[in-house]
Amino acid sequence: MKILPTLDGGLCILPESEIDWQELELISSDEDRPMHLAASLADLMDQDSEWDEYVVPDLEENFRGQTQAVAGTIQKARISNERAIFISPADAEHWYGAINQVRLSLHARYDVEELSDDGELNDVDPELKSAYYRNRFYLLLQSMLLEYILEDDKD
Amino acid sequence: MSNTTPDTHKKQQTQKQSDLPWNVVVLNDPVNLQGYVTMVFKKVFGYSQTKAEKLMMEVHLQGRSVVWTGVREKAELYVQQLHSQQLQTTMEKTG
Repeated sequence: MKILPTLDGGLCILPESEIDWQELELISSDEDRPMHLAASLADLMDQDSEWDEYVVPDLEENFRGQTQAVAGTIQKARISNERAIFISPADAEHWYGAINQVRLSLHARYDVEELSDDGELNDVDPELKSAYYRNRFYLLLQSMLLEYILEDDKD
Repeated sequence: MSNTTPDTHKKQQTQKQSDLPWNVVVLNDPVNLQGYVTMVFKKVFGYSQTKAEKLMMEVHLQGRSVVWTGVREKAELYVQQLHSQQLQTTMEKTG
């Protein structure tokens, strides 16, 4: 898979194999993820705030919007002739947010941040190894979104 | 000497307690990128790069940082904005 900056200030992802496409599609594969994230953030607030009632529905809608936008872009790219995924500056926040959701979920399920690639992975369960590499790829994509699109001048 | 009765004194104390400002507290998490957290602080609070980076490093190194203090309604608004950026945030009364 290649990721390139575009002239309009966005990024272009060029998947090169079926696995690449699947890795991208997994960003928005879990329909319950937005709900779980919104609920976990509400757990940080006290009962008096009534966060569950007044804020969680908006948060969930916002998080769901991110995953749906990403899923739609990938789906369109899949069937297009170009077979390229374009992330415009206007879409970058959706992508960053959707990827953050999947990374939070991978961390909660596999604790991937605790693993390192210096031989430690040889003996781990294949599912955990796969989660580790997915997280690494998503982290790279997030870093590129941040560096090429989201971060403004550091003044 | 106080010129208030015990009841009014208690009322004033309760009033004073509820008037206390609230802290907006951002907690560390294993996923969010440092550059992203800095960017969010700049965007939500209008902080300078230097101040936003200082607060981000506090979150990173100390596990939490008080990023804003003020009235409850505004604190709630800020927490909501930080939650929508997926930052683990809570609020607590000062004092």
